[in-house]
Amino acid sequence: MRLQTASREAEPANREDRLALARATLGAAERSASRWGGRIDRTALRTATTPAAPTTTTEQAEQGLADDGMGTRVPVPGPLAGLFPRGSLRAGSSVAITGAASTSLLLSLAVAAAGEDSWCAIAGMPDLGLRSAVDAGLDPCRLAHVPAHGEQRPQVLSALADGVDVLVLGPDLDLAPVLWRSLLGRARTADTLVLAAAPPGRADLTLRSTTLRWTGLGAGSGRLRTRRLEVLASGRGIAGQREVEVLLPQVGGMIASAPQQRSRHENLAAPPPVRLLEPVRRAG
Amino acid sequence: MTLDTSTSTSTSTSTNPASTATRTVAVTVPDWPLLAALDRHQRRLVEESPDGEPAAIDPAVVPVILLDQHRVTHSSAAAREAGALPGMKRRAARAACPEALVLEADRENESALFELVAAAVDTIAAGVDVLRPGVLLMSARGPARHQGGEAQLAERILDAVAELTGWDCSVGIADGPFAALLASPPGRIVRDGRSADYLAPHPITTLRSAPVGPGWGHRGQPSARRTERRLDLAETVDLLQRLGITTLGDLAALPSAAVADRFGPDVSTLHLLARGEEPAPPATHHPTQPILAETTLETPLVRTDQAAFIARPLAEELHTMLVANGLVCTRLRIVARTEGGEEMERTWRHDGALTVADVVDRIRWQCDGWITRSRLGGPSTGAITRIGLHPLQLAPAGESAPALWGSAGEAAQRASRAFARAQGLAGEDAVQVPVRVGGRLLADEMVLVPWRSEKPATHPGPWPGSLPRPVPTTVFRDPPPVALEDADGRPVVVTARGLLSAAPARLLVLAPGAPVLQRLGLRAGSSHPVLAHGAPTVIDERWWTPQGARSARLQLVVRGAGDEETAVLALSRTGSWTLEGLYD
Repeated sequence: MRLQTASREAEPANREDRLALARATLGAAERSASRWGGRIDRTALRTATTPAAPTTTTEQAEQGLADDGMGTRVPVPGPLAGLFPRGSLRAGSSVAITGAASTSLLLSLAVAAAGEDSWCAIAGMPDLGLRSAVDAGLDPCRLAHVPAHGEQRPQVLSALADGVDVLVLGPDLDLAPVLWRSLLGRARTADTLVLAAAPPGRADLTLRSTTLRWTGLGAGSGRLRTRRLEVLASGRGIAGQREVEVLLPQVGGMIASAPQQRSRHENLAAPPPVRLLEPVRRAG
Repeated sequence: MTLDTSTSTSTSTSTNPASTATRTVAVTVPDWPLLAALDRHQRRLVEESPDGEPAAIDPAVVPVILLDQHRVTHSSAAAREAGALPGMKRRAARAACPEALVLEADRENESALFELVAAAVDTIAAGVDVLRPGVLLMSARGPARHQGGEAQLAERILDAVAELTGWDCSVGIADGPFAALLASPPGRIVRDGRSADYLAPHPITTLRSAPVGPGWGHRGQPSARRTERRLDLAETVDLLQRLGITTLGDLAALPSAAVADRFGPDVSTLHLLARGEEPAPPATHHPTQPILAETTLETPLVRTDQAAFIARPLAEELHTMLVANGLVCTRLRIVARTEGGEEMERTWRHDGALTVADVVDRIRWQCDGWITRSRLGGPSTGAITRIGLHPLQLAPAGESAPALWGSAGEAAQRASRAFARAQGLAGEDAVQVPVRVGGRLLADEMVLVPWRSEKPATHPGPWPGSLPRPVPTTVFRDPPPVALEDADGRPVVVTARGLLSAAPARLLVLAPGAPVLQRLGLRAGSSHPVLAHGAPTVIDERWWTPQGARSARLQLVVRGAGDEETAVLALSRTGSWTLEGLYD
């Protein structure tokens, strides 16, 4: 008996959680359904209460609740969520990425947006390191690489903007502003996320990255381990600028949120002992 | 049946090495449905007449017409002379040729009886596939070598079929199944690499007998379930004729990209066949656990109607296994064991993915065939006690398989439509997919192949010396040359012991490299201080062969433009440095 009452007391708090979880799951399911074309009107389902705070910090829960009348939302990498209004991207929007780590950022955004079942096409990156794309988490079965040169380029890119869910436009594409605008229009109607390095026109959001430092390499020893990157975001829905620091790549090749600043001092202190290892003797 | 020997003897005079189509033998029995129906009719006469044998009916003399759904499908030579042509209605045919013997088509009987022909060809060559009743396909290379030439092989097949079954067949040998099929009625042997020339003058209506079907031509997406996309050959031929394409040569002359763009993948396959090529079979798949369905029969199979009862559960069992593995089957071997311990087997090739109904039909036809064969005085086999289905050619079910929520896979279909369109616009190389092949250098490790083409083999490794993570996001196709200098301005090299001659202090970009270098401020002629460097990793590739190459890899962090740290991967080969990759 006592056990029963105890569980009944615990239930209300538990129920809140479960309700939030159920809503999140339903939202995720509906998002995936609406991605196949059938838009579900959620106005009838929306409750008057404020959405419960995402106590579970998983991206998915956050995603499900962010979807209220704003169209389909596309997830972004967790460490970068602070850069984006509402912590996600609208499907059909465009992101311009410039700066030192543009390729890595393009890949990590594409990985998050492609998720479990969306297709991704990469155009205009002839020198893309394919293994790094796979290491970043892209599924090679749902990835197409499009050289996109030749006179049919506008038609090819338009077909891709209609067909895939994530379109990555590399820096070597040399797009004309007219083509860029028409691609954006197509992508908006087809709910395709466009990620572009150095686009010729304006995009909804602009990310600018600066390398703070690389760690792991000494003088004649060690190997590259992580890069600390500062990413600034500006554009639609952002007042002024937002800024985060991330590790991209981290040791595994993926993106991770950067630890606090203390690592800088460690890093400064690190090289001298490493140098004392005398790599010559070890290698010989 | 005589062989056209003027075009025979294709002894290694291969004029077209680019042709990749399999050398194929096609064995056809002309007017097979008519012959089968006639045979059945005669057997019935024998059973009905109590005294003596009725006279044999010779289809060359006696007019015979075969009806299927009230239309004439085949008529014997005498009936054709009298004016009863295929396509006529029953009434019209009877009016044209009142004395004709009218028979009804019976597909079961045709299929079962064809086992006799298949068994006769089996005595000459191995690996005989039944494409449909009346048509056998097999690879020509091995049997021809065994018989001492393709002409000899054809003659042996003709003799064997005539001797063992009493029917005339015709044999055609060519590159690819379609050319072989068309070469078969005139009994020709088309020389190596000349299939396209042979096909060109044929009228476009011959496409109706083309060995195509859903799934076969659609590499990567055998669409077994999408019945609405089933290719209607008659309609396609009609469309092509209306567009003024009257011969196969006309069709072959069209640019393939235009055909793919205008008509879609189905007609692209036909176009491929018309050019004398062979659609590559869907990438075959070898599951880790073998897939096969077998059943032991409690009561041995002696009557043909029993076969129908065992066929469906067996086919469904196989289908469940295939679905569980996400596969479709395009070639099926049916194996039977008899009371006497003898094993019989027959392979059925199908144009597309085999559905349950297709498999049921084939099991039934095959069992009928074996039982009929023993009844017709062939080698007595005894009752069948065990039946097994062995799928020989498995292909992934592709993107068309519906998923849990019913509508998943639509993204894949949408994407594949877009990719097909892009390939139609700008050629096959317009859309490429990455494939891991394995290698030590980053550029070798993964390659790009055109979407929906055959993927190269993977060498799983291990690959000692390959770069651990994180790997550069940019891997140069044309590695830009650089130079490394130590603090005194002397060049830094990797010694034979795999050590650096000195600590590098500056990186010099020698030639204008890739645009990505320009963007990061590594312009030609500029020099950048080296902030950190690792120890060189020696890659000793294929040292046991003359092509062996020794190189060393070095990770560097340099100060690029704008005082930003830039990490690069340098590669030293025969004393000179290039950039293999760039962490951007």
